[in-house]
Amino acid sequence: MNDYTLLVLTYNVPGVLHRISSIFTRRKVNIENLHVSETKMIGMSRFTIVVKSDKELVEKIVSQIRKIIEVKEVLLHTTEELIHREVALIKVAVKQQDHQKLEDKSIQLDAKFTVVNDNEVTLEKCSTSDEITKMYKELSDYKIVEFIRSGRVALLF
Amino acid sequence: MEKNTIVNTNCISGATAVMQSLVEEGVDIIFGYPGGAIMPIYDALYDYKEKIRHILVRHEQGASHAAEGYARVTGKAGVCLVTSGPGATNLVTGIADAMIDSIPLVCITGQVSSKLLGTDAFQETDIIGITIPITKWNYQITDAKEIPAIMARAFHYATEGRPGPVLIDITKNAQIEFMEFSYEKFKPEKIDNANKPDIEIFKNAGQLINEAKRPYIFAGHGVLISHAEKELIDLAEKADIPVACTLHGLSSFPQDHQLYMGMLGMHGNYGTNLMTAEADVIIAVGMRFDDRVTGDLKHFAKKAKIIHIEIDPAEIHKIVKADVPIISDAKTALQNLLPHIAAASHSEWKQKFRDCDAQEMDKVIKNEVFPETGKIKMGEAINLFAEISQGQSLVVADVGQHQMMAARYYKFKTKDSWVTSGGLGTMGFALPAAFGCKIAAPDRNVVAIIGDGGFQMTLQELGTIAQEKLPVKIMILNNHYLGMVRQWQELFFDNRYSFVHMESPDFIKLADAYGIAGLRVSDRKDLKSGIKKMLDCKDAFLLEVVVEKEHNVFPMVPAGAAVSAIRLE
Repeated sequence: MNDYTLLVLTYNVPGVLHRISSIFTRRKVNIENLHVSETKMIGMSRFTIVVKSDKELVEKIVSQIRKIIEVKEVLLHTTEELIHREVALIKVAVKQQDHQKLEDKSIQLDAKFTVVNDNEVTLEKCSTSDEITKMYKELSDYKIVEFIRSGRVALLF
Repeated sequence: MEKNTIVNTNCISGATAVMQSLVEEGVDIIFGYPGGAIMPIYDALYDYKEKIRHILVRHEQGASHAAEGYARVTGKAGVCLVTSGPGATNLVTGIADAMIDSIPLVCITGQVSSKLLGTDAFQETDIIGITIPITKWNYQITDAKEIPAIMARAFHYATEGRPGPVLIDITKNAQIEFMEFSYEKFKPEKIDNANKPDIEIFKNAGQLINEAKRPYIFAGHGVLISHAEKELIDLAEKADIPVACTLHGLSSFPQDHQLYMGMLGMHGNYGTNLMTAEADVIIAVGMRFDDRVTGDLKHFAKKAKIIHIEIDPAEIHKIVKADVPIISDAKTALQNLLPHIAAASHSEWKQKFRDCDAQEMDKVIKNEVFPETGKIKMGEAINLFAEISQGQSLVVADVGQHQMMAARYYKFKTKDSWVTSGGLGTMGFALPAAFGCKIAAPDRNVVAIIGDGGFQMTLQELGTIAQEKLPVKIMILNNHYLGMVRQWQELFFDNRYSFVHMESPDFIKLADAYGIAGLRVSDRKDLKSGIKKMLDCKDAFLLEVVVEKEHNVFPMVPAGAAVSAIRLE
């Protein structure tokens, strides 16, 4: 089992997401992370799909995605072969008097610090998946009110 | 002014645009059933009666199977026209069947007005969402302007490459709105040459074949779709290679040819299955290594290098690793391969098949086809039918024991003579598919072989046959059981016959109620004359053959077993 990222270039029309995701559902492969947005080519979308699976199965899935009429191209890579980023937003419950301490820590964590109100702050970090997980673990002493990560975007090296 | 009249030269309603698009695509037959959301199109169809024949079925599933039968015989896309909601959902089984058996269909479904979408309106269903996994492509038209381009795409996708079903959902407002009509056949952006095999691949394949001591050809549906029958014979004859057909490949290779060894698969022939374990090179042409053919993959063709000629790249390495994948249609691939093949002779290898044939004849075929006592056997009836029809009939089989018997014992003399539901195994397929085939091949004697169970799934289509005066022949092999399930219960579930015994109506009275001639045969002595009467009848005819109640189809590869574990009894 490995982490694979599929980069799928498609026409930007409704229904493509459903077709692509149903190929994963059929094979009982869970989509761990998903992002889609229009590329610099107007009318074309890029999907970035992250799954945990074995190589043979993922290659078969790639073949089946290629069959979809709205799909122009599919590239398959392991996570290490790509430049990738996710954005994480964390809301932390912290009393006013402790804000400064967390702000200092956030510089250490390379995260952007914002005060929401007297009792809550948010940290924002854009980095690799692993770095974000590391940051989350470093905040284990704090009360995390909410934590959300975005879809992964990836570029080839 | 009449509805749907042309206002100025090209300004027509969406409904008329659909009709015009069908005419542009060369469609002259539609299988359909009207309803609320498709009424504007039916109104437009009324003015196209001369150009397009519409067959009113009795259930939309019948429309889908009839369109499949039509498409199998002509190679053109079969067209269905149905309404929204239940009309559309009734097509689902047929669409799934066409998807897995690679049959080109264009299904047009009506839909509620676009402003009602997503509101749970009357007879609204998300047929696009429902058919995503079972169509090559689908699209919902909400604006009349889109119609010509989408219809052109639909017909292109249905028939190009590996054929399959396409569904076009048209909202009611799009059918009523007016638009400026002009039509252009679909031209794909560019031809994808990424997969095109180069000469090295054919050289490699040729080398493997020339060095092989025990080469073996698997001929599948792709040979028929590609019209590669002649190229297949040329290859087999040049290098003296035995040929076996998959279920859908039957009739792609002449059965009286000395190189024809039989059918592969769970109920195929003894030698054809056993020898897969002995082959050193397998040339798989237009077939997908379905589990019925491979049995347990851990033991499948372990000694063989595999050359896989297949038009769909997703099928390569899907089930079996190909040593030489050739992504191409069968005809082109075989044409390019032949120059690299050396003449050869494999008498000893071929004899191995013949030795197995002798065993199969002794243990299975003799008793099945020439029983001396007891009730009529299915194989016996099929064999006699094959003799009397001289192998010239177009045989349409339903699903079950009778289907396997028909596949095993009919002797196909011409290509495109065998139509059945393989991948999905849809009971009820044969009756509507048969009249679809008859319309496609009016000069051929089309004979549906159906079990008593499967017949009752779509028997209302007798109404279509009667109304349209289609001289389809129906042979029901009645054993009063869901035979194939009963066989499995006998062999693998300790004879626990859980809900497989079926009481049926008097089929002859039923046929008579539809104005269709019929005859029941229960005695061996009446079988020949009964079959002859059925074949000679100028109109539709239903022949019920009462057969042995509890009888099994052999040989059999038990489910999940290796094909070399094929049982003769």
